[in-house]
Formats: sequence, C-alpha cells, structure tokens
Amino acid sequence: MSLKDMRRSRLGFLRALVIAGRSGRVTRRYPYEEPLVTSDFRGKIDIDETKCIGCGACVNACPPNALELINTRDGYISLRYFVGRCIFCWRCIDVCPTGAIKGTREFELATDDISDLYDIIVHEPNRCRECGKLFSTKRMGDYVVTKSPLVENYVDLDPDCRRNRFLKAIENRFGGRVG
Amino acid sequence: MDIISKYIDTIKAVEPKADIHVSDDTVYATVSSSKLRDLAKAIYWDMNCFFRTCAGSDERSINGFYALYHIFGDDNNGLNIVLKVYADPNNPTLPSIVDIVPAADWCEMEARDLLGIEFSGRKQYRLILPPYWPKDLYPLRKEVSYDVKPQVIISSEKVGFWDKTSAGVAIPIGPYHPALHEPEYFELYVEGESVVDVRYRGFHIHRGIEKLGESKLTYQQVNFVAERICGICGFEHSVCYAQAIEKAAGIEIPERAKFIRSIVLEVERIHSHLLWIGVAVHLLGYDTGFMHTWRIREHVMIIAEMLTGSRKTYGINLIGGVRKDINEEKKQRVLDVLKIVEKEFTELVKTMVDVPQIMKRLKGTGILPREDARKLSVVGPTARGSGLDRDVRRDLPYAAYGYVDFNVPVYDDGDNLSRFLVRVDEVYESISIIRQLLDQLPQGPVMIEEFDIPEGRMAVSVVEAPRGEDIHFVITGRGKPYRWKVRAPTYQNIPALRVMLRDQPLADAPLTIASIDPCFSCTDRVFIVDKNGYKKRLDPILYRWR
Amino acid sequence: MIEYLVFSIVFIALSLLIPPLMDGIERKIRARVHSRIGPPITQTWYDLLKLFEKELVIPEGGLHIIILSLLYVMLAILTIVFTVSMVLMGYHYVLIVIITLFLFVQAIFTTIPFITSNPFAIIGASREVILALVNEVFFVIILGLYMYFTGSPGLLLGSTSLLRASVILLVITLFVSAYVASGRIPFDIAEAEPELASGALIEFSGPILGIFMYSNFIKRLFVKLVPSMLILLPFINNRLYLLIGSFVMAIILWMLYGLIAALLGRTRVDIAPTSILKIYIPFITVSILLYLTGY
Repeated sequence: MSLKDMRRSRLGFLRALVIAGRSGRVTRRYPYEEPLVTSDFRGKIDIDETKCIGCGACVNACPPNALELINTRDGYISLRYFVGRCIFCWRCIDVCPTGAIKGTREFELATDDISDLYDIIVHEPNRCRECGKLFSTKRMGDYVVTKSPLVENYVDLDPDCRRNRFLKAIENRFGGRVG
Repeated sequence: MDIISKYIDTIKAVEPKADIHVSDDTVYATVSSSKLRDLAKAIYWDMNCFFRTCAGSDERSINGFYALYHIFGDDNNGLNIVLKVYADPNNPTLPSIVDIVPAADWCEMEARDLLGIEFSGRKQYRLILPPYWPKDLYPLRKEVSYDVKPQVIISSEKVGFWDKTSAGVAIPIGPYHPALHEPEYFELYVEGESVVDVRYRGFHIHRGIEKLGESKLTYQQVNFVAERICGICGFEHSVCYAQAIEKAAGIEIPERAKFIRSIVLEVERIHSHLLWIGVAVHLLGYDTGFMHTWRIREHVMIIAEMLTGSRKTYGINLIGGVRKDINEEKKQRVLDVLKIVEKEFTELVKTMVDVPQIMKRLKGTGILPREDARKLSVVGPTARGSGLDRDVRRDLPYAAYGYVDFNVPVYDDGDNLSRFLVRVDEVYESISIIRQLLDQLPQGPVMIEEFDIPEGRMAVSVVEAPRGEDIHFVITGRGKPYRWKVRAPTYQNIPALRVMLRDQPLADAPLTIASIDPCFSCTDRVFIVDKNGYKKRLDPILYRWR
Repeated sequence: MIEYLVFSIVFIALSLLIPPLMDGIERKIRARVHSRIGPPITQTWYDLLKLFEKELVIPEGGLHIIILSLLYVMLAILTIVFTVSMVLMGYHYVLIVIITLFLFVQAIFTTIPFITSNPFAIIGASREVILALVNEVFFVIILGLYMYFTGSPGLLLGSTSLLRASVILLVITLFVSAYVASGRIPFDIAEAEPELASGALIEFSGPILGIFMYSNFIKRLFVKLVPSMLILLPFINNRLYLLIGSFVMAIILWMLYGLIAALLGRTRVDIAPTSILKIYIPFITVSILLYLTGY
C-alpha cells in the first residue's frame, strides 16, 4: 500500500491505545505457566537401549557430532549422546534402521552437572570365533543375519579373519599364492 | 537470435578461444586472464548485467591451477553468466575488475585473504581475516586443515587506521553498541551532528563455514550448517544450498516439496520483515510499535513451529525434498493465522505512520541514489527502494514461484521511508503468495529417496532472501562439496552504506544502518572450537578510547 | 509554627521518596501500552539501590566529576526542599528562588558530560544544551511574565485575579515546558540509547549513575509541581491544602505524561527546537495580547 492509501490524521497515534487495550497483556508467566510449544516441537531424543544395535547410522547422519560411537572398555563399543551438541534436527530418527530413537518435546535441559547431558548405551561386542578379538556388537550381528541369512557363516568372524578366509578360499580355488 | 547465443557471441567477440558450455540457465565460459577486464566490461555494462559474486577455488588437485569464478546475472532474461579464469599455482595473480565493476571489491579481497590470489591494478587490503593472522596461511587452500589453530599474538587495530584523509571527529559505532544486534564496526567521522565519512570493518564473526562444508561434513549434513548461517533468514540459505546441489546433480524434486519450500520461505519472509519493522521503530524511540509488531510476529512464529517443528532453524530441508508434510488441519490453521496477521498488521502500520516523529525521521534520510545503487549492484529492498526493479523470485523463478502471481513493490525515493514501505508491501505480497500456494498444493511425495550426486559438476543457485538475493555456488566433490561459496545479501549491501551515511545527521546513522536490514552473521562466516567443545571467539578489535 | 515544621518534614520526605516510585508506576503504564506485564512498581527503587551497591568507577575526566555529581544531586534535592518549605512558610519571593535554583540544576547537568572526553557524552550534552537553550529560556520567560501579570514574585493564595485568560494561558504553556524539561520521549535526545549509547550519561556507572538518575527523577517531580501549584492557586486558600493538591496533581500529571511518552517516537535535535517553538511563540504572543487588551 502506498502512503496515499493510508489516510493520515493528526491524532492517529492514539490508536495505539485501542490496539493495546484489545490485546491485553500477552506476557507469559513462564516458568510459572506452561511454555508455548506446539505438539510438533522437536526436543531432545530418547534412545531405546533394547532396540539399538550400535550400527552407527545415526552417528553418520548427525551434523554436529552429538552422537558418537566410543570405546568404553577394551573393545566394547558404546553409543554416546551428548545433549550439549544436539541441534534437535531428528536426522538420527530418520535414519535409524530399527526405530530405536524416539523424539520428545523436552527442551528444559539446563543443569549444573554436565554428566546429566550424556546418555551412554553400552553394547556387548561380538567375539571372533577364530582369534577371539572383540569387534562390532552382538546385536548388529543378529540384525544383519535377520536381513540376510546367508551371512550367518561369517558374521561372527572379525573383519581381519574374514578377509584372510576369503583370500585363502581364492588361493584354494585358483592356486598360487597370495602375496 | 535468442539471448544465450547473444552472450556466446559477445564472449567470443572478445575472446575467440573461450571454452563455453551452457547448462540449464547458466552460461559457463573459461577465458584467459588477459581478456577478463574487457569481458567484464562487455557483460556488466554493454549487456547490462548485475554482478553477483566471485568465488576463488583451489583446484590444484584437479587441474593444477587456482581458479576464480566471476558470476554475473541477467535478471531480465533469467540467466547467470560465469566467467572462469585460471591463476598460476606458484604465483597466483589476476587482473582486478574493481574499477569496471565496483561491486566486485569485497569478493576479490576475500579471495585474496582466503586463497592467496593477488589482484593487480587495485589497492589491496585485508578484509576477512584479522590483522594478526599469519601472512601465508590461507584457510581455503586444500592443504590447510579445517581445525588448524595458528599461534598468534592478538593485537588491536587503532581508530582511524585506514588513512588520515578523513576530516572530523571519529565516532565508533561498534563492535558493541546498543543499536546493533551483531558485532560490526562502523567508524563515523562527524562534524557537529553531520556525518562526513564512514569506514566499515566487519567480519568479526567469520566462522569458516565454507571450509567446514568442504572438509568435515557430508552433503546432507551441510543443509543444517547452511541453515545456521543466519538466525533470521537461515531457511533460505538451506534452500539455496539444496537447490544448488540438486541443480548440479540434475535431481528433480517432487512438486509438493517445491510448494512446501516456497510456503516456508514466505513464512520466513513475513517474520523477518515484521522483525525489521519492529527494530526500525525501536531505533526511533517508538517502543510501542516494536512491542506490538513482535506480538503480531509471534503468531507467525507459532505457525512456523507447527509447520516445521522449530520456531527458527527449521531443519526440514534435505537434498531431494523436505522432511515434513502439511496436512489439512495445518493448512487451515495457517490460513486463520494469516487473516489475523493481515488485519492487525494493517492497523498497526496505520498507527505507526501517524506518529509524527516516525514520518519526519524516515522521510528524506539515508538516501541512496539510483546510479550508486546500480554501480554497487545492491540487492533486495535496498535496491527496490532506490528504483531498481529486481526480484529473483520473478526473474529466475525457483521452487514453486512460477505458479503464483505477485507484485514486486518498487519505490523511487531511495530514502529510509522507501525501504520501509517496500518491506510493508512485501508482507502483504507474501501473505497473498502463501494463500495461492496453499490453494494449489499438489498431492504426492515430499522426498526423493534414491539419487546420485556425481563429482565435478557446478551450479549457481539464487534465492530471494528477505534481505535480497542470496547466492550459493557449488562444485560437487565426492560425498561432500568440493567448493561451496555463499554470498549473503548483506555482503552486497554494506558498501552502499558509505553513500547512504554521507552528509546525514548522526541521529539517523543507526536507523540508516538498520534500514538495509543488516544480517552480519550472513555476511561474515571464526569460532575457534577447542577440543572440549567450547567456543572461543576471536577478538580482533580491542577498542580503547583516549 | 511547629506544625508547619512537621508538615515540611513530611512533605520533604515524600518528595524524596515518591519520584522513583512514580517512575515505577510509569513503567507499569508503559508496559500496559506495550501489552506487557512490566516490572513491579518498586523496581526503580531496587535498581537505584543496586547501583549504589556497585563499585565506584571514576569516569574519564577525573575526580572532579564525582564532586560535581554530588553538587548536582544536592542542588536537585535543595530545589525541591526549598520549594516545599517556602510554600509552606509563605515566603514572598518563592517564584524567583524557584527559577534560580532550577537554572543552576540544569546548568550543572548540562556541563558535567562535557568534562568527560567521550565523544558520545559531548554530543549528548550539546544536544541537551540546544534543547535547554529553547526550553529553559522560555521557562524563565513564562514565569517572568507570570510574575509581571500577577504583580507578585510569590504565590497569591486564593486570588481570583488569577483567573484571567492571559494568566491561564501562561500556566498551560508551563505544562508543556514541564513535559519537555522532564526528558521523556520525544525529547530524550540527550540520552538516546540506540543513537548515542547513553549519550550524556555514558561515562557514569555504579553510584554516580545512581546519583544522576535519582536527581533526574527529583527534577521531574519538581517541574510538575510548579505548574500544578500555579493552576490550583486561584482555588485554594490554605498553604497546606495547596501543597497537598499540587502533589496529587503532580502525581496524576506524571502518569499522564508517561502515557503520552509511550505513544510517541524520539525527535531529532534539529527538529526539536522548531517543534517546541511552534507551540511557545504563539501561546505567549496570544497571552501578551490578551493581557494588553485587559483579559
């Protein structure tokens, strides 16, 4: 609208009183009242430890590296979620293959103890049946087998043993030596 | 003959050996550096194009050279023209085009700071990096890791360090000042109450986002970083990036996704303009207008949260579409809120215009004449307030803007009042656009599941942010972008401030600075993050007044 | 006599305690116009006390600023003390003393920021000077004309000769002058926060800022008391009732001015003098003409 469309009057600024009177007081007495979040609000996530298989898809997808796969004890892999870095984008929920991550509407997360902000899910590792090394997680092995039963033969071998077995199979098949 | 052939002929007339290929709406021409200046003149002045930006790139791992891309835009015909020149890897020097194209000043200096390309024929200075940054450490070169922390001694820059030719007393506005919401430094030289000159020193919050996008992140993760370039206009950065990658890889996203992107873009525009109007009247002392404008804006924030899941930094954009859908109930809610916003906004603007002090201080202050606006290639409401009829939504339609009708408000006076009125009009236009989009929303999926992003493709994507046109230039790499250049609209508008602030009373300086709607987070792009995850800020200017 | 002493002490105490409370009420009114809840009424007192608890930082310009600030606050307090007690005691030259003290207070307030070498303070103070040159000069002219028209440098209690059109017009102009002198929007250009980052007050912090703000509040009460007294003068015979009535009217005026300030924007130093003069000059000319024609 151009200036000419708006008819200007000398005392027009008093209309502000009408506007204020009609809107009342809009201040929200938070935290004594409920905060204004809709049902679509994205808050922090909740990882269900019974469903998580430790695959790391969420770790790959997480933009700020709030989710990390770390080693807690020798060979034990854990998924660590640090709320301090989380941007509440819920990409992890999108990519989780088992639906282990659930989104909540929590955002009142301030605390004076930083360990409150860490969620760690410790996974039991797979043990290689040949060399005894610990690798990946047991649940991941079970999950892969349900998706593709053929791999049952070597899902409990660690990657090195698996590779050696494959090279030996080629050696046996075609002769010669693998150098 | 059609317009593309005309461009090809123009380029070949100056440089017959140019290597030209056309893709979509962009003409790529690789030329030799000796002919660069003539070509720039031909394209910028003879063909009457605007200058978008220039991006330097370290391509030594691909072809052994540094490259510089000058990107021009022909809005009337909906084209982008990219001129690529190579620079010698051992001693990268290129001719500067700043006397032909004054708008290229900053991006050349940025290429110099971040890549080490020297420009001949102009005065060079340090623009982005602080003065104590080591001389031969160029962050955007591929051998420099993204988390390198050089040993530096933090020193201060003195007042009036540019040159001594300015008269008057120096008044510092910034880096901390109540009128500014982000750190920047304007040095106004005043005589009495009248400003005679102004110097700008910005880039206090350069965060090295482009380097991050090229080293540590994957394609889909960069969307979220792009959204956080700016706190007010973040979504359009995310859309612009996603569109650039989709253009480069040739991905066609579903129609419904385009509509949803456009709807959320317009919601963002309404909230941004309401925010600006509140801030502008606050700077004039009229806090009642500020509070009520933001009260109306609250409705828009609630529907943004309902549509996307978050009041700001929506996080719904991915390459290939959007992540959240709109159902009938949400559609109805949006329409209801738009009705309320329109009614209350009209009443409020009428009241504000009747406050005598506001009109007196908006009219005739901060004038940007049309010729200066054209020379500096300003964008957005700053350009439309000075009589330049530029709007990327109409000229290079993207997303779903081809399906809607809207007017582009243009005012000729070039003062603060014109820019104010442009933004007021745009709010109404946005409301009308959202209504049209919701009406025509097509059925279908909102995301493409399977797609491929090949390496080595280039694309230029232009989006109309609330502040003007935003440009993302990408070269795809493997799993992540090879080069990602962001040119935010405020980057283009700040050099115009020098013209606008001259000979104005000091009282109007904060209002004039605010009238280009500066978004310095977009303009700058360093946070040093130490290993515990805490951010430390580079503090280049320790200002002391004596 | 003794009861007048008691009343003096009561009123002096009131005039020292009420101004920050009234500022709190003004903030509440402004908040209501903004559709907010706003801070509690005692917030301004709380802020002042908090400022006094902070450490003393000597501003640029040295120790004499602190001494001048103390002088300023003492003068402000003295102004109101004198006004109240002189009215009660019925001093004959009360109007002249009022003008003198007020001019001193304004002069010191304007001078102090010049001593700090901060350019924001200097610009803010020069704006205050320009405004003062218009407003205080007319304050003196109006009161001078009032004394001339009424024929007395003091307060003529209950005199119906004060119900003349020329005198009433002068007092109305004094109400406008009181608004300008109180440093509210649209005339708070000396301390424009977005433009000058606190302008004249930029170098002050802690107790010194507390002193300045408190003195400004006292000054605001004072400039509203004077026209209130003059307008009520024809209707009240008793000095005590006059003072009570003026206080009540000053409080109501404070709230009204606060409401007006919430509805307007800030003016500019080159626009302000002309807009003020556009009111003063016609009013005073008409008043003089009315007097000369016998009204």
